[in-house]
Amino acid sequence: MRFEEIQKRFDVLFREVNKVVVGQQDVIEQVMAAILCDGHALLEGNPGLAKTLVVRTLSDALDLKFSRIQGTPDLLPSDITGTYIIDDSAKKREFKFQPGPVFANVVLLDELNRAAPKTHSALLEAMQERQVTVGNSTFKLDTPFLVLATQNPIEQEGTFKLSEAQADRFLFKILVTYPKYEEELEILERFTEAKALPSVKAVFGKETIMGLQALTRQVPIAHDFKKYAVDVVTRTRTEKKLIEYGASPRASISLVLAAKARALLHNRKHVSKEDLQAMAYPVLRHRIILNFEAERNNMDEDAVIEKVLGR
Amino acid sequence: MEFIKKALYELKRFLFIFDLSRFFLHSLLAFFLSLIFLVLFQISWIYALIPFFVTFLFFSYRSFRENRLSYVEYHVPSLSETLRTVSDNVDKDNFVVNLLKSDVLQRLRTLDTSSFATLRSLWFECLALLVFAFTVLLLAFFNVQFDYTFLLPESSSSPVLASPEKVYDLSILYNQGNLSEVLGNRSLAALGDTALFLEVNPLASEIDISEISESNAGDYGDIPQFPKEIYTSYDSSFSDDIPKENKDIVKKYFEGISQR
Repeated sequence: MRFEEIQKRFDVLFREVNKVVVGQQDVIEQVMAAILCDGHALLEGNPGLAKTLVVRTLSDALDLKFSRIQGTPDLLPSDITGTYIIDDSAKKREFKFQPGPVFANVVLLDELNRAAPKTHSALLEAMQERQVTVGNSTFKLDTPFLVLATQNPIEQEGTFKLSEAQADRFLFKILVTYPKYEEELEILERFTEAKALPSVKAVFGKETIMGLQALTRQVPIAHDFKKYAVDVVTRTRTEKKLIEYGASPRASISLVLAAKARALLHNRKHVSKEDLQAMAYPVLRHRIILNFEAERNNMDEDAVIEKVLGR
Repeated sequence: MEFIKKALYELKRFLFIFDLSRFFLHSLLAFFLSLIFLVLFQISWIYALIPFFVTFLFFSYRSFRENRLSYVEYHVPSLSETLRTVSDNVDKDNFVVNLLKSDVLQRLRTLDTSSFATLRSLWFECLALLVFAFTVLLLAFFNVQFDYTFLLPESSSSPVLASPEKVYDLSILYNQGNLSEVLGNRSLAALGDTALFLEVNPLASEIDISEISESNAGDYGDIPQFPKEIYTSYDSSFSDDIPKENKDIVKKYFEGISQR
């Protein structure tokens, strides 16, 4: 596929997704970037902001197998990974592995913070190793594999905060914000008049996605920008005035990779400084822990990242 | 993709020469500017070499630290960020990098030197250089000098002056006390190292030679007794042209004095 052809296909993809989803361009772009980076994303936003809709529509447009898990306190690891069941369809009764919803290409874990830590850790192996171990057997997950978990920033009662180690496994933390006034009007029009949502055409296939993932890693980056990425991540560790714990070297890797994906999505054959700055927010916001001074100054993660970027 | 390597090599080579010329020009400006002050304060021109080298080293160091290709990118927006990326990934060979290389090569073909060599600043610097050079020439020609000696502290006895082996600024010594008996008429100090033709006319002299009598023998019998710690000695540097017998006489004389 030619480079120009890829860009055309991306345009078609975004058009298809926008048939269903109104606005949320940054969210769609960042989820797409996570897919290109072969990473996982955490979506945070208030209820009713189309988090689930974005993910479902994107997986439809990408022709990927989609599964959804609702996070609840009683959700067990086996509910995600799958378990052995007795199969008596044959003459002989035997245990047969019944794959859980994690055996899909795009796994949406709604309200992740409602699930117990035990269930969180069951996801760790799947997210990191791309495999699931049940009993003595290990099962490889299908590729591409993307976990998209949603979190609700309000209603913290009865929730289990994601551990720092697990939060670090997510490539991005994507903030889903309220739509603009005009967008909300369009939402009203689209969802109150038509009986069913328009169907989305599949633009990319599984193989193409994997090809694009390989292509993303080929996007070159200048040495100056590599240094800039490391500088930004290192600054989160040295900015002791506002940050208690900074980002790990994994953040540097994620930042460069995310910038490469953004460059590809923006029809560029190289990483620019703008890509690094734009992707620093979703890459770093769940990897830094602010201290009291930042809270006292009413600064959230994005405000601190902005300061770290020197903007 | 050897073309891109060659193109980058050419560009870097040109930038190196261009930078050297620019830094030389900056340094020359610093040299002439400091020369103006040195001439005004009558200080040796050699000291103007210090700002020359400092300026040259400063710009060279700064240039060495930063990526010079970003200078081209700054002046040629169509190459923004791509030139450095290609240069850093020139040895990589994959689909995207190769596409970027051919893109950059296309743009480099249309690149003109004047697009990143700002001629206006070069002209301005050359003009400034000309002005400074003429100022130095005029200052030297009209012997314009700034008398800063009054600013110096009294203890300062050896200011750094041009050609110190030739000129000895007597005006400074005059300011240190009444030394006209030792150094002669004060007005002579203004002559500096200018050759002075003197004709002594005995008739015009205030001194009557006939009144000058022969010298009388002195009586040095009442020479006071000095303690042993006080003695006289001679410096070997003065002994070069004195015959040995005369030295012995002088030595015995002073030994005689010291033993009394």
